[in-house]
Amino acid sequence: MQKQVRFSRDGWRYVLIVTVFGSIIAGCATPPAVSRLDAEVVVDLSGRWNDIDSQQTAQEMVQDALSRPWSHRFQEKTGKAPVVIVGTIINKSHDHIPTETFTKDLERELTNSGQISFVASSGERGALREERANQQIDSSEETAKGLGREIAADYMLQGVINSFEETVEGKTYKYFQVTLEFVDIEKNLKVWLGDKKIKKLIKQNKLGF
Amino acid sequence: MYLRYVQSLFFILLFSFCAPVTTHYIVAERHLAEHDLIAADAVIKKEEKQYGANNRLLYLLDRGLSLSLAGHLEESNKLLDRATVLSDQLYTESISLHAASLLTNDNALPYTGEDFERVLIHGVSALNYAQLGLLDDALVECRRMDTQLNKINNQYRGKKTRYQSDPFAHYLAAILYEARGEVNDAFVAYRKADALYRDWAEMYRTPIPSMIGADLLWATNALGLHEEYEAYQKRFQTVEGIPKRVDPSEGEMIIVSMHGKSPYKESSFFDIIINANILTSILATTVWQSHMGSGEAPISLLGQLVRVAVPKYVAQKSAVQRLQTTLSNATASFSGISVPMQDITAIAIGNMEDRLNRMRIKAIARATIKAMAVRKTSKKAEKELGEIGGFFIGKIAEAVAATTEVADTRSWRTLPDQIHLTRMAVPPGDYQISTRFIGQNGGTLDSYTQQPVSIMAGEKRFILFRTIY
Repeated sequence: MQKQVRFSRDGWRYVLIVTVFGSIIAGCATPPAVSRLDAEVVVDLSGRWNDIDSQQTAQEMVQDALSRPWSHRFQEKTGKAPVVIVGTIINKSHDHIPTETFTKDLERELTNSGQISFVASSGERGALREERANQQIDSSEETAKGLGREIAADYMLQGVINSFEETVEGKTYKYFQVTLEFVDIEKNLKVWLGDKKIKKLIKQNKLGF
Repeated sequence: MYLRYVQSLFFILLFSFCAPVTTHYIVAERHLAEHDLIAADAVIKKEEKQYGANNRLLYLLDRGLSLSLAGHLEESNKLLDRATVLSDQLYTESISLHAASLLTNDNALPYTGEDFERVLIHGVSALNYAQLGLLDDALVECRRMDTQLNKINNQYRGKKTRYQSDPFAHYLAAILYEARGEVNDAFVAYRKADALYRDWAEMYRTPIPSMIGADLLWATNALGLHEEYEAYQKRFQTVEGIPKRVDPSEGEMIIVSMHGKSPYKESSFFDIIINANILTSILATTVWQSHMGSGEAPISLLGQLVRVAVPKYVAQKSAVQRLQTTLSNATASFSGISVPMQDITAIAIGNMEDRLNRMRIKAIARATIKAMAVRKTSKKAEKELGEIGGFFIGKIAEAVAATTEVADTRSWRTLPDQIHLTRMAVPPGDYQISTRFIGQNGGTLDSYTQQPVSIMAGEKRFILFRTIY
């Protein structure tokens, strides 16, 4: 026997009202609500690489790098802390990652440890060299900084950021892998390799009101 | 009593979610024809409020591309990024809005973009970053095109879908890898592009780009892959040995040109007989009858013949066969001819054909629900107002149902019909760029001269041109 669908007298009116008003509410634009957060609070809105990923990766990798014997061996041999220059960190991931922010986080952690010194990178020293050259012409002899007295770096820090991403039925799995290495500039020897993996699972409901 | 019914039906009409206004596209296209790209962008910007909340994504797409063409590349990227975020958020569908769409039409739903449109968000961004010289960021967008396609393929697993990969994305990535000196990655990307273009030659009738043979020969030679080199030599029948590539002392100008207008959608109507029992609704005809939205409601004496609307694309094919670009300065002149890389119209139409059955099923379900609502309203009115009153209200309800039966004709209208590419190796220096868009018979359809550009040794310089013809 075929079953007939029945609606009560008010049923259709109710459907109409709910539909119309529901769509008004769903379509209404609401002004954004802003609240200030502590810089350490973790906020992951979209699953994209963010400032917390950068800070956590820098902290953990620096801890690992400094716990390995290479910097102590260098200090024992030379009597001074290793000097490092930041090379290229290549972004091969699916997100736009401001690698300058990431390298600054690394520099800060490494410098503050007291075990490593940094020299200006190739991008930064152009302005410094220009200033020194100007000083030879325009500054007093006593205060002008000498030419050819830069401290050469012992090691270069370089690395790559890779990622993998897949989305199925509203669930997105994102995997980032950051690989860094210190390379002896004179001998091309890699003295430390480290990596940090970050995995994120982003869930999104298929239906909402 | 009559007033209550009329009020309810008026309510439905008020919220009948008609398609957005599209007249501003004509004005924008006029400015494009005059090469006034800034004015074209201003037209889109001015209409922001008219798009409405449901078409926010459409505004971001239209404006994202118009900003790019006007040279505001960073601002374009910001809007396209917002489009990506919004497109992801729109994965969550509103139950109430879907309910509204079943009583009216799909314009009640927020526009989520066609599959290929969501991929092209990243294509345009990639070109923006490439023009800015930010090759790593351009590569991120190329990877995102791939990720978006994987997302789409997972969504349609088991269902028919032609647009599963994009060879232009891989070819663009290959050029960027080559610019970074990453020969192995460039080779992998050129090889993928080649394989996909061979599929597309059949699927979308997009010819395999003529320079891909030279690209593959260069890459396999550079990597010392002798077997592969000989296989490609045999396939592309090259007898000249290693093809000339960009010398390290030269720069390369890469000209991406967008030709013509993307297809627009219109409503395609067909009639079905709806049985009151939704389980036994049948099609009156399987032959599509296309009406140009004449607005005539088919009023049947039986009250059970309903009109159903689904969208269909109307092509606006570009008349341009190729772009000739001339780079010149006081001492030298170089010329290059473009190669078609992507036929957006073919992709759009193919995409729609793949989804047609699914859209028909939904449209028939919508027509069935509307017919039930009309029948219920008519019977109720007959009980309360008598036979004549019931007949009168029933016919108004039928007319409202028919009037609200329009297809979702929204689409990214600022896209072109085709994308072409020209690669030119030139000595470093400053060059005046002249372009000539050539038609099938060799005549010039459009032309203009660009501000001088500089190119350095080893640099790959990207430039984007647009013609409306």
